[in-house]
Amino acid sequence: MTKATEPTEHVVSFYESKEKIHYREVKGRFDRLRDLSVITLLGGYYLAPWITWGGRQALLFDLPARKFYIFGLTFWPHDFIFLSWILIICAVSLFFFTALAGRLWCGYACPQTVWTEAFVWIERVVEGSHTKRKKLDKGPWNSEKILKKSTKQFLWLSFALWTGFTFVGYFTPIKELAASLFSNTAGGWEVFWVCFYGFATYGNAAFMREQVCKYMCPYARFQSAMFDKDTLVISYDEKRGEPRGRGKKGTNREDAGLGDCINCTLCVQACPTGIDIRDGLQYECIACAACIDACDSIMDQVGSPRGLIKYTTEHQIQGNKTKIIRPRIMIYGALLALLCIGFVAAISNRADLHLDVLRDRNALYRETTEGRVENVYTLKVQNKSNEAATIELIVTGLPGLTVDTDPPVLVLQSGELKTVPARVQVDRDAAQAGGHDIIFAIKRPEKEQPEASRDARFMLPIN
Amino acid sequence: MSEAQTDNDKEQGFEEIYPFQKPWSRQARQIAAIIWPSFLSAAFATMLFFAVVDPGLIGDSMTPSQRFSRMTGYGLGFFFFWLITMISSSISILLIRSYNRKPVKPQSNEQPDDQGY
Repeated sequence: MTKATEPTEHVVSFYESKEKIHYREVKGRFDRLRDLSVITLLGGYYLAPWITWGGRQALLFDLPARKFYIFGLTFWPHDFIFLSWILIICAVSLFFFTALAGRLWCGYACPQTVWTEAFVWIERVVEGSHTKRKKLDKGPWNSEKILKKSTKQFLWLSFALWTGFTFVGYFTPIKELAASLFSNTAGGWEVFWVCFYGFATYGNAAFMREQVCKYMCPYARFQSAMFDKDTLVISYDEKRGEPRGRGKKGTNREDAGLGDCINCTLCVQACPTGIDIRDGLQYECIACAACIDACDSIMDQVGSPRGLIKYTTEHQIQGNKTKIIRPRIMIYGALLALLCIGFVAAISNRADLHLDVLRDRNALYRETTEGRVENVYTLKVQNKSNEAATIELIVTGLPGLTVDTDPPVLVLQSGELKTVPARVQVDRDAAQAGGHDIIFAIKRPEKEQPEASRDARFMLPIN
Repeated sequence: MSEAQTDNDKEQGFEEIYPFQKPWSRQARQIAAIIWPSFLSAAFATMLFFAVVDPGLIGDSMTPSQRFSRMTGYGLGFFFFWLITMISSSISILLIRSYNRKPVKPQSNEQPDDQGY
């Protein structure tokens, strides 16, 4: 206890421990599953920007041009609704899968896990197993240590920079980016973002690793809100394992009053976040299942059945049946299915033409010498399809409306946006004085129905 | 005894086997809690904001008007958002840290509890 009059000061470094975490590597079913997941996800990430589709990059979120290409589809800034829709789908799927299978995301798919795994592989290839690495860290700076450490750092940095380069390659055409980087003509921002993302990858995956999950990840803290007693978790079978103990060689464990846990602590040594799963479910657990693999290997050796630590549910531990179909799952699942169906329907029915109508702000109306009244509008017409389009303009809402555009025939190339003035005229006595609603619509000659329409106000003089 | 010390004691048995694993200090945790959530929020805000606003046009509407490219617009936008979200997170941490839960008694030797976080 400190006295109020003597404030104590103590120096805290960003890392209390200068030594690095070297957790024991384990082999097993779930480790192989994660390897598969890592190879698939990282392979996809690094290869996807190099795929071409119809003469251009298949996946390109062209930020400088403000167009998104996803295979045959092109998205424009006003397709913003789809982006928000995708984000909502992502959030609901996270809820759904968390309720169903717990932290699958953390253990197998989170970029933090996937890149950390890749960086640990590199470290293991260069420096050897976790015991060799610990010895190397403690040992003197001889030529072997310098060589190994610098090789590792070189590989890590190259990998991180390649990651950053690939990331930027999703936003500017990757082949041109590669060429410009090699010829030293790349733009400042491109170089900056390659380094920024590379640095973030290095910091998160090589330096902080699972500390990110423990201290920085918001999902780790709120995922428990989606958990219930039927959610898949990794758990130690306390009834079977306790009381734990090594036991004497040759004696029957049951006679000695011991459970199946031989207290080898391999599950703790294998844990990347450094917890003891035998203490129960903890928020630090990223459900990587390394402890399951470790424990299964020991159970095989001592001749006990596997599954002292296993994927299970709280209901199953209590001896009840696990209910997979339950209200929470049904609600999340139905919501997710509806959102996905709606999204696909909306994408396939997306209009190819887009129209905006702005009234001329300078004059309400103009009377012509022929006794007609003219209102002027500015039209913004865009062709979002992948072919050129001829566009007809139709204006309805008042008897005898005529419309003049400049140019009179609109031809828009693929993706082209045109701003066109339109003069709409009507006989002065066609309608009452004041404002009237009229409708602008555009259609292609080969289509029956107009593809986009907008309302506007038409003003007639009061006296 | 503060909360952190209790935590360290609990960790003791574990550290005998694994001296390499030590928890982050409170200060490190707070820095992480400022930087990372604000980074994620800024990335999110940048995505939503620039989906509807063309960064190339921002310069035109500034006083005095500036000329910069879209890439500059995106970059400055992101760091602007990050700065703002980081200020917000820092203030949250400050408020939590400096809150006195117990009234300070003049006679007591006990320090006001400022260990909320």
